[in-house]
Amino acid sequence: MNLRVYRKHNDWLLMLPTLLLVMAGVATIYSATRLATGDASAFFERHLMYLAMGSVVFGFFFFLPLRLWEDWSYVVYGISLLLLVAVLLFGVDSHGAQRWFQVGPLRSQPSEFAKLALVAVLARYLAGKRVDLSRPGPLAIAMLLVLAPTALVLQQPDLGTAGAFPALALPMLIWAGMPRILLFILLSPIIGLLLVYNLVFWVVFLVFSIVVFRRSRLSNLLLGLFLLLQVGLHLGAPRVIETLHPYQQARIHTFFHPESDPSGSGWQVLQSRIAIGSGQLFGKGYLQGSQKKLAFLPMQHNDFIFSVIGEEWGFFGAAVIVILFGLLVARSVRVATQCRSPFGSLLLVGVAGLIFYHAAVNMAMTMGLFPVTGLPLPFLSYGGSFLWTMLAAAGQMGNVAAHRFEY
Amino acid sequence: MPRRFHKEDRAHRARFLYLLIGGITLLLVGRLGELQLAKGSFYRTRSQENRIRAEVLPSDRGRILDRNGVVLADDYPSSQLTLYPRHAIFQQYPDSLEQVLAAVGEVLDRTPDELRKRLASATESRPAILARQLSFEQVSLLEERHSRLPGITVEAVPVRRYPNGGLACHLLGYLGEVGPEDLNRDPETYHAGDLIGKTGIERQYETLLRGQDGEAYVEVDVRGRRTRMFTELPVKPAVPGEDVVLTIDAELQKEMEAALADIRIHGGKDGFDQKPAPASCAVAIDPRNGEILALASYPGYDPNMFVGGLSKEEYAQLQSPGHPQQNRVIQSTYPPGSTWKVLTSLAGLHADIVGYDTMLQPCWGRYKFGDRYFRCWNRGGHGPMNHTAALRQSCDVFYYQVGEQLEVRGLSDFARGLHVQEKTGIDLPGERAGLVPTPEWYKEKYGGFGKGVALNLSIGQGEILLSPLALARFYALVANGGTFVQPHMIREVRARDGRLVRAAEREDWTRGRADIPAADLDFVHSALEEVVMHARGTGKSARVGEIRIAGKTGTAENPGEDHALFACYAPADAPTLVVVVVAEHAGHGGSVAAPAARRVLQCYFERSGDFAASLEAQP
Repeated sequence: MNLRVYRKHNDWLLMLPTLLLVMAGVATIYSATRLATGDASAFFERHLMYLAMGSVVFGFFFFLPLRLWEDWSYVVYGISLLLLVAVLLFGVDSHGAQRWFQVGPLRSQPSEFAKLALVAVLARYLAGKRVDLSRPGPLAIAMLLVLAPTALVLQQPDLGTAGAFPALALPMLIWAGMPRILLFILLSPIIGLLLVYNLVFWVVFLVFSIVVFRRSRLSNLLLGLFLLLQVGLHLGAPRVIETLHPYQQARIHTFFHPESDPSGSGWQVLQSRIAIGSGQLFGKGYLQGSQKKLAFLPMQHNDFIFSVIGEEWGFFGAAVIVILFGLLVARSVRVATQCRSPFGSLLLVGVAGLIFYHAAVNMAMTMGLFPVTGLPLPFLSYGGSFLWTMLAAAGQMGNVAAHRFEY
Repeated sequence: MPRRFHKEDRAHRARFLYLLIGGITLLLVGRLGELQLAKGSFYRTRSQENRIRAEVLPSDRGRILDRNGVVLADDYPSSQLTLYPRHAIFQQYPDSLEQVLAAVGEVLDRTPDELRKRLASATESRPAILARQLSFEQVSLLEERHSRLPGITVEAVPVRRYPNGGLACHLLGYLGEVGPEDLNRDPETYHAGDLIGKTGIERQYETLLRGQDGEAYVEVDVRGRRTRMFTELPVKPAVPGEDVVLTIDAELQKEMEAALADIRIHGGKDGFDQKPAPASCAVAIDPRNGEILALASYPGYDPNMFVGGLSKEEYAQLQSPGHPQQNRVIQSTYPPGSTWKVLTSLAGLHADIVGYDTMLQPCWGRYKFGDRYFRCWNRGGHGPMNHTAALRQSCDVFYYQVGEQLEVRGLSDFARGLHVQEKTGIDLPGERAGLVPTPEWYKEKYGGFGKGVALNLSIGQGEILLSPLALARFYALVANGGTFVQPHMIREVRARDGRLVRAAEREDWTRGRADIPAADLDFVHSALEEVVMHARGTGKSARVGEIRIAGKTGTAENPGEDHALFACYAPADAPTLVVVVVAEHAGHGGSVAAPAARRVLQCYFERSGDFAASLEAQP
C-alpha cells in the first residue's frame, strides 16, 4: 500500500463536505435529543460511539486496495444475497417487516451490506471489456444483478431500501454507456406509476413516448410492447396498491392527503413541515427549536433530523446541507471523469448514487415532497448500520479519488 | 480501455449527471424556499399553536343536602398529581418516564408498576391521575423536585367529601373511577379516569350532580406543564352540577343509625346478651307522600375512603362477612314473620273468612292440621280469642285457621293485589324484589305443595320474602287509609345559584288506591295500637310517652337465630311516620327491634316542630 498517494491526491472537495455533514449531524443530534435538564442524552453518547466505530469502517474502505475489492466483489455479492435470504427466514420482526438480524445485543441490517455489495459487483461487471449495454445480453445480466437484492428486500418488505438498488444502479448504467433511450424505457414504468391517478398527464406521457420511440428508429413492435405494458400498469397498479402492507398504503394515502390524519402518520409530515417552515430565513437558533423542544417532531434524531436543522438553522442552514450533498455528489462525478480505472470510476458513481438517493428521498420526505419511506439522512441521522454503510461509501469515494490517476 | 470509458464520452455523460444532480438540488432548495420563505410566517404561527393544548375543565359536582339544608356530600379543594404520558418527551425518552414514575412512587409510597397501570387512562387532552388527595407533605416534596419531573402537574381539584363520615353512607353511595360499562354507554360524557357515582344517590342522580365538563386551551411548556391559559381561543366553561336536596332528616338519620348500632342480641328469656347484633336496618317513611325521612343499614362504612382509592385494610374491611356495603333496607329480603299477620287479617276480612269479632277455635299452644301440629309461639296457648285479640297478641293458631281457609291462592292473590312483593321503585339503585309464592310458583319450584304451606304463609313464614322497604310501604298503605305511595328520597333540585330546578315535594307521589274497606283498616288500626299501647301488647317497648303508636312485632324464623322485626306508625289517629326495624339473628321483635324503633319515634316527635315548619313550606 502506497500511503504517499493519499497525501498527494487526497480529494479534499470530497472529504470536507462529508466531514461537515457528519459534524452537522453530531451537533443536531445533540440538540434533538438533549434532555430537559440540559444534559446530553444517551442517544448522543451512543451516536458518538457509533461514529467512533464508523471511522474504523471508513478507514477500512479508505485504505482497502481497490483491486482486492474488485476481485472479491462476486463473493461479497453472493454473501450479501445469502444474508438477505437468511433474514427473511430468521430475521427479527419489527413493525411487520423483517429487516434485522439480532445476535445478542447487536442488530444488523443485511440490506445495508447488500447496497455496497451491489455497487462493487456492478462496477466490476460493467467495467468488463466486452460488456456492451446496447446489447440485450449484458443488459439482462446487469438488470439481474440489480433485481436480485431488490426483490429480496421487497420481500421484507422495505420499499424505501429496495428502491436504493435501482437508484444506485441507474447512474452506473449510464456511466457504463447504456443508451439514453434504454434509460427512458427503464424509468417509464415509474413515471407511469406516478401518473396512475392523473389521466391527462398519463396520455401526454404516452404521446411523448411515441415521439421518442419514432425518433430513435426503434421497431414498431417494441413500441407496441411498450404501450401494452404501460396500459397494463395503468390498469393494474391500483389493484396492486390494495395488496400492499396497510402501513405502506397509509403512507401513500397520507402523502397525498397529509391533513386527513393529523395525529397519525400524516402527523409526522405535518409536524415536520411546520418545523422546517417555522425556521424561516435564519432559523430559531441552535438548541432553540420549539417544535423540536416540545418534542412534536417524530424520530427527530433519526429520519426527521433534517426538520430540526430546518427549524433551528433556517433556510440558510438547511440549504447549505442540501448544497453540501449536491456538491459531494457532483464532485464524485467530476472525479469519476478523471478516474483512469473503469472499475474505480463506476464504483465512485455507484456510491455517489447511493448517498444521493438517500439524501434526496429523505429530505424530500421531511418537506412533504415524497411519501414517508423510513430512509435516514446519510451522515446526519442517528447511527447504526446505516451510518456505517454511508461511512464505508465515503471511504470508497476517498479511496478511488486518491487513486484516480492509477490504472 | 473500452471505448465507452474514453474521456469525451465520459464528459458527455457527466454533463447529464450534473444536470440531474443540479435539478434535484434545485428542487429541494426550491421547496425549502417555499416552506421557509414564502410560507415561513404561516408555519411559524402553526409552530406556536403547537404549544397549545386543549384541557378539560372538570365541572363542580353538585352537593347532596338533607331536607333542612344539612350538607351530606360536597366538594373541597384537594391536590392531585397528574401526568401526561402521551407528552412526546416520554415517547422520545422512554427512560425518563421510568425515572419519573420511580421518583413519584418514592414520594407516594407506591411502586412504579402500580403507577404505570394508571397511565392507560390518559389521552391527548386528559392526563393520567396518578394520585388524589395528596398530603401537604407530599405536595411540598413534589414541588421541591418539580424541575426533575417532566410531565408532572400538581393541581388543585375539587374532591368529594362526606362531612358526616359514615352517616347515611348506604343511601348516599360513593364515587369511583368510571368502569368500562359506563364508558361504552356514554363515551361523550365519560373518559377513563373520571369519577362517577357508583351507588346510592350519587349513582341515581349522577347526571344532575355531575354537570358538564368544559374545555379550555392552555399553553404548555417543554415538559407538558401549563404555563398559562391561552385565552385567544374560546373557552367552553364547565357547567356545575346541581344540588340534590333529599327528604332525609340528618338528625333522625343519626339517631336511627345510633339505635341500630346499639342493638344487642336478646339471649332468650333472661335478658340481653352483650353481643351486638351482627346486622340490622331500619327505614322511616312518611305514609302521606312516601318521603323517606331516614334509611339506615348496619354495619356501614365511611364513603370518604373511596375518594382517594382504597387501602388494603379498607378493602378487607369492606369484604368482611357483615357486608358493610349492602344496603339492607332495599337489597336484603326477609321473611316478614308476624308483621305479615296484618295482611293475612285483611285478606281474611276481604274473603269473608273472618269478621272483626270472629272467634275461631281457641289456642292451646298448637294447632292440629292433618297429622301435623303447627305450634303457636306462645306454648302455653292464648285460649279463646276474637280476631282483634288474635292480631294484638299475634296468636299463630288463629292465623293458621285463617290461612287454612284462604289457601295459598287466596293469600297470594290478595298480597299481589297490593303489590307487596314488587320493587317499590325508590330512587336508589340496586333494589331487590320480594317474593310472595303462588301455587304456580310452588308447582314450578317443588312440583306441588301440601295444604299446610298456607298455614305457614299466613304467619309470614315459609317462602315469603320482603325487603324492609317493601314492608314499610305496606304499613304506609295501612297507615294512610289505603293509598299507594311511592317511596322516594328526592325533595328538591337546586341550581348552584340557589334557583329551584325541580320541586319534587310538590309532586303527587300517590299511586292510586287499594281496594280495602275503611272499616277493615280501622279494625287493623285499633288492633295495632293495642299492640303498643295495651299493657299486654307485644310492642309496648316502642312507646313514647303518651303518643298513640300502632305497630306489630315480628320474629322471623330462619336458619340460625331469629330475625327481629318491628313495623309501626304514629300518631295512630293521623299517621305521619312509618318505621320498620329489622335486626338479623337478634331475637324477638318486641324486645330487640321495638326499642330501636322507639328511639326513632322519640327523636321524630321531639323534632316535630322542624317537620311542621318544613311542611308549611308546601303550598
